[in-house]
Amino acid sequence: MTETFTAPTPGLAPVFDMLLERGAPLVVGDIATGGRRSHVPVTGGTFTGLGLSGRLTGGGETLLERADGVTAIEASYYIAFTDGAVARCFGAGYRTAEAGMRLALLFEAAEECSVAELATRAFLAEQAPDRSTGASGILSISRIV
Amino acid sequence: MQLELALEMRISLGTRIHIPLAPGYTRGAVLITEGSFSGPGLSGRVVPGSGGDFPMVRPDGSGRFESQYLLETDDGAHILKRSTGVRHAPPEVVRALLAQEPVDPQSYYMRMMPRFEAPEGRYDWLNRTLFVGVGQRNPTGSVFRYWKVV
Repeated sequence: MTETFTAPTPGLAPVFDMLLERGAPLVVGDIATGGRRSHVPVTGGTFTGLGLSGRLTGGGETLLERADGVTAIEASYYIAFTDGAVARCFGAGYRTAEAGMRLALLFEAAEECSVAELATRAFLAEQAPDRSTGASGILSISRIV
Repeated sequence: MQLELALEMRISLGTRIHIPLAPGYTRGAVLITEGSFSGPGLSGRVVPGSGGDFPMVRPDGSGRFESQYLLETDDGAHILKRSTGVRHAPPEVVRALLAQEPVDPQSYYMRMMPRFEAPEGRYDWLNRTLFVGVGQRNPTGSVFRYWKVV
């Protein structure tokens, strides 16, 4: 430790709740490169927080259930906000029996739109382990500060 | 979710390459010549020549990062580290960063979200753990700290 570390210490600020309604999984099956591949489409839902409000209009979660019991997830969610702006929220993470689903997320939005600032920050999201096997769930999204 | 400090990494940067993809879009390539890392239960070096950082830089100061390189632990395990990240900074700060001038690390937002591929065994918790990274450039290279999400 020869030089002082003066960069910020990151923290988590809860900002959004994304209620996800999921459709029936599309199952590819056990693939040759290892793991069981499937895709869960998003069929609807809502996005709220920081005075923003939107509807989930598409996207999904592409899953790889690995031999170590961890499901690796690539997620992409499309959000239509009440003022007409559209954002894509995307990222990757893991689902385990203990921790539930956790994702590292970024946003994309049109440069001049009302939610353009979403694209300038990084986020973490969590959906607690399923108490049931219900298809809907709430993803709690925190901004990494 | 909470963040718990897991790792500090020090790297020396070598060749910088810029690929002007289109007006206003430049892909950078910053190759890592050497590095070391340490944290609770995890220390070693960056495998020389195994990769680097590949930032996408926009003139407005926003940028996205992609990085990939290999770690080698002190007990000989190899771990692939891949990371995405985001930076947002005022234009004058970006100009200074690109010119490799000293920049206050508090003057811009830069966060990395690495993922690891580690062998089965004592390091396999890396395969199911998310991290948040923060970086700082020093005269001799860069220092990153990584917090695990617990």
